[in-house]
Amino acid sequence: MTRSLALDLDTLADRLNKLLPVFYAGSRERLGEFIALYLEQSYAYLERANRAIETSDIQGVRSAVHAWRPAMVMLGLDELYKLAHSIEERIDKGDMAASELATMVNLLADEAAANAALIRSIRHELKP
Amino acid sequence: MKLRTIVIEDDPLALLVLTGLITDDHSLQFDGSFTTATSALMHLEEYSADLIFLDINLPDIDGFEFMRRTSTQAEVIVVSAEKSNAAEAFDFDVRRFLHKPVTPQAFTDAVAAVKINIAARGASAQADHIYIKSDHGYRRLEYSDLAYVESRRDYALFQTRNERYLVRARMKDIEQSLANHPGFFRCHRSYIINLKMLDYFNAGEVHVLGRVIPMANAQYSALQRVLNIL
Repeated sequence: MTRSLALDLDTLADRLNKLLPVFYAGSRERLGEFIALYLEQSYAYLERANRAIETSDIQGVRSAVHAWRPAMVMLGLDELYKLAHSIEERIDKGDMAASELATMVNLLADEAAANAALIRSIRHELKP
Repeated sequence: MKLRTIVIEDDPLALLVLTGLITDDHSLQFDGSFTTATSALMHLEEYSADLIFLDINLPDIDGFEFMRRTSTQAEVIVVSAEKSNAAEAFDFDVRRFLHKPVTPQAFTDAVAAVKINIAARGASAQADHIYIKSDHGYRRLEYSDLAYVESRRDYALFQTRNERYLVRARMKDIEQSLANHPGFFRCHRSYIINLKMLDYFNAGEVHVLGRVIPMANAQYSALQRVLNIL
């Protein structure tokens, strides 16, 4: 198991409370809707990235990670965002071996899975 | 009047955010979303839009290529996660650039900027003339002097009382620019006429400035309604 960026439920709840007026016009219902779709889509982003790795399509990896990043911001997943950003930066620099890229995407997948568990818990609390 | 609004966006999360913001804004009418630029181009061949939210990284052709290919007169707000796309976006005279993730405040500001521009265009539409491209410049045509416009493939012939001008333009665009002037009527897919110069009409033809112009079957009753004929 790779290292965890150790986001906890209270921290995430605090961040989401702050983000509620910024991105969701203060609507918990809208946040709940976004979370539901995020939980579905995060796997799609990962799948895209992994498929791109299989075909050595580096820009495909970048594109998948890049498309994912705005949602990370909207959900206060700052650590995951930084990790995604660093993957993009390394790709842009062009100094990353394919194996290293695969390792970083795996790390991203692990962190995304850990975060998804927290997000599910929060979503449960949002339900009326 | 609500602005007919479409979204071209392939990312479901970004689409959810945008459609939520559009439906919240009572000045906008959500007319649909497209996950590819090609499907949006096909839609715009048939239907008009006032406002387009356009993603740049799309699965078929990108947003910039969409803007090169479309002839729509809709206002465009580019929505992208890449700040580097902003500079190129402004080359296309887009109203605004929204950086993802889009906040309600940024959205409201961008829509406000679009409304100001549309209002300015509306004011110019109240004018009594248009400018058409002519001799490497632009020529003023008074509406009161314009008898009809005839489509000729990729060109349009503007017939005034005494002159005619051939301009590279599509009928759909001309019709759109004349839409605020009730004095003009599209009697046939190839003709827009000035009703003030209409001398005679029946189910198959209209006479304008001595010229016999065909009338589409479907437009006969529409013309009767426009002219308030019982």
